[in-house]
Amino acid sequence: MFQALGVHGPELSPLGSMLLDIALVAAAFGFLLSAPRANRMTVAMLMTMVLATTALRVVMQPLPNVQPVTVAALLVGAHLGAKRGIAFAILVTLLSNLLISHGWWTLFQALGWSIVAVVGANARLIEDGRLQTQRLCLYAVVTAPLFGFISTLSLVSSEMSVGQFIVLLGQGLPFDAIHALGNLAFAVWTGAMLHQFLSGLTATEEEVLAVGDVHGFDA
Amino acid sequence: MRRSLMLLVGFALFICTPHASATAWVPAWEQDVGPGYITTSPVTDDEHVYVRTSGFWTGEERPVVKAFTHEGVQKWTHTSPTTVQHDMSPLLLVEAGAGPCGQWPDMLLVGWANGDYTALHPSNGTVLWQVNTTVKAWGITGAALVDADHAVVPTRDGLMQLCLANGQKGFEVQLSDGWRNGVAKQGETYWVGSETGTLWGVHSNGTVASSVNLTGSLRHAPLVVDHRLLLHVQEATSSSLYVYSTASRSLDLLATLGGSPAVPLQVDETFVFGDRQGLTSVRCEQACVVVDSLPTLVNGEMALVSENQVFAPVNTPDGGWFTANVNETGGLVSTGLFSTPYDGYGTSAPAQASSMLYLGNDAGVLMAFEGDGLSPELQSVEDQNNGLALLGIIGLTLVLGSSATLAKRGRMNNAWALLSFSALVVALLMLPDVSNAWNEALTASPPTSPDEEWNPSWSEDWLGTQVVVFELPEGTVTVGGLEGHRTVWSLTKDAASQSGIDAVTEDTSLGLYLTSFNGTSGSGWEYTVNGERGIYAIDAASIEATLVLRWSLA
Repeated sequence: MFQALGVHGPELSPLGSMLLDIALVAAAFGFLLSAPRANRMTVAMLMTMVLATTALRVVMQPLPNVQPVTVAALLVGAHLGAKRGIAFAILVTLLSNLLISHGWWTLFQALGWSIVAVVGANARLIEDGRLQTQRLCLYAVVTAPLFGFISTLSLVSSEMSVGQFIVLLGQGLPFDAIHALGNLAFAVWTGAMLHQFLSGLTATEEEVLAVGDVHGFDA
Repeated sequence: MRRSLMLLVGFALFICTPHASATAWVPAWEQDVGPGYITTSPVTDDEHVYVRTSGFWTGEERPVVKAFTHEGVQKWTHTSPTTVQHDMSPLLLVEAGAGPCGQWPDMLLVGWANGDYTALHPSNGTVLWQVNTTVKAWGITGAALVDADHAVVPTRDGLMQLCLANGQKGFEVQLSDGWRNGVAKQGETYWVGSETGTLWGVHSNGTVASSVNLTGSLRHAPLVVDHRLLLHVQEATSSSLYVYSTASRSLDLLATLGGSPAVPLQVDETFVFGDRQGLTSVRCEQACVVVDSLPTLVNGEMALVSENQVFAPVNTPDGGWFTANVNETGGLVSTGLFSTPYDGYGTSAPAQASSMLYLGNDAGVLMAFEGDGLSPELQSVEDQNNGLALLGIIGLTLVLGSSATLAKRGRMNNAWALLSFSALVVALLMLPDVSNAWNEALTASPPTSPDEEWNPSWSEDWLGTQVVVFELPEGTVTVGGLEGHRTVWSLTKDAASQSGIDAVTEDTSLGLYLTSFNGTSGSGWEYTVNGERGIYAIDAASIEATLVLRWSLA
């Protein structure tokens, strides 16, 4: 929505931008560290996932609000738990925005996708090791306007009235609809593949768990 | 799940089916060119629309030819000081060219009831050349023809050929008295009818080649179909449709129709005739046959709008323009009545220029409508877009059909994948238009009301009228209780006149610009209507019946 509308909220000074970057990276590593210990393979694969999702978001930038991050955040949250999901969301947002367009809104986008990851972690998208595709599709659709709302908060200023904010939200509705449709397509096309990939991570971790190396999942 | 997916696919297929659409014409502007009637079609070029008035004249008023820009700004007026009535000769635009008799610029040819035939410069209305012809109660009322470097003009009692470059007569022959007749060329022969029931054939060198006795008056240019002529002959209470073979010199009656024939119209291979009974279509192959008819009442000119839609003025007290589509086989399909705010008696055909449609009738108001009728260039782009749209629809139909098939075979994941992908593609294609329309709907300002500008100290008699406020340096002057004005300039002029304010304007390429009030120009004058700043030229800005117009220095 933001790229399409060309509105980006308050301008950040270089120092403010640096502090934001530091805060986001610190938060991401904080959530990673606070999560139960993971083996190297899990960390490496999670970082691969971050880079792949970032790359895909950057490549898909010309398509307004069509990107893989929301579905990926849902599934990472579902498989690896809320904390790693949040770390994933923050890192993808930060890295991709550094390549696309970075600013105050990065904070809100990171917050939005973090909340999506938390939703994914609690939505019972995986039951008995099987991906609940219909549920994933449903959450992929409903988290689009949620993310849109949180992102729009970055545009709130002291001069803005409630009515103006509602108009702003309304203006974003077509883009939220595109976001929802894009999420649906990603869920249908890549949901099973991502599930398989992330299940591999889970299996690797479970094998290590069996020898008492780590303490289980935080979901 | 499967059923819901198939229902979804079916619904999507339904809404993607292309629907027929018709050109929608929206009023754009109007100009009162009266007193007098508009009895012949306006004509247009890239710069202007030209219109003439006719009627029964008294006092100082005289018929005029006026030129307006396509935005409705009047550019010039040419008045004939000596003509009296029945100025019904259609205007004829001629593009610049050269021939054996010389070079000529763009011209607007005008025939007058006083016998004058005038070539005007379309850019400014000045006279390029003028010739005089015989007057017997009236002079020229018929339709001329441009033939290479000459204009061939039906005069009151004959035919003349004029050099386009200088108006010099190539020939002038006396035939018999004519009225609203027209001339057509077949081979080297000009054919022209008359009031006395004679169809004349005049060789291009000016010699009378033949004459054919008809059963009544011929008030249109004969329609040429290879070696045949189609003639709609007016009789006392009815009319006869004849086919005249110039090869065998035989005259065959094709049909007996209603009285007061209109000027017929050719639409590709179909010929459309009008009269008091309605429209009749005729096609000619080895023999000419009547194909179809529709009831209405048409006495004047007809014109083709948007490729295949006939507009025919309905000459009744509440008439508009009867419209009908002509199909490929000559069938007529009524598309209803085109109505305007000035419906009434009329004989004038509309003129279409690019996306504009111009109409006039006996009310003497030139009306401009804007629609989605496009210029040939834009039409070409539109056709390309339509082709792409058709391809898109075919592609989408295939995708949706495949989704339905996959769903029927139980391959639900594949069906959803295909469906979601195609839905996303369509949504992305629609996003710019949807987003713009949605934004406009969200941010559209409510219509302004004069209440916001109303001053409680004003007289209550002014409520519901047009009020003008002049914020002059010497003090504010307010004039209210005005009614019936349709443009900012009309209202301003009236209010200034009533309050003794001297308003000076300047005609610019963008329209009329107000230069000063009482000699004060400052850095320019601005107007607001109900508090909204005006953005149009004052003679083009339409206004409501109730408003507060405020003038202030910029």
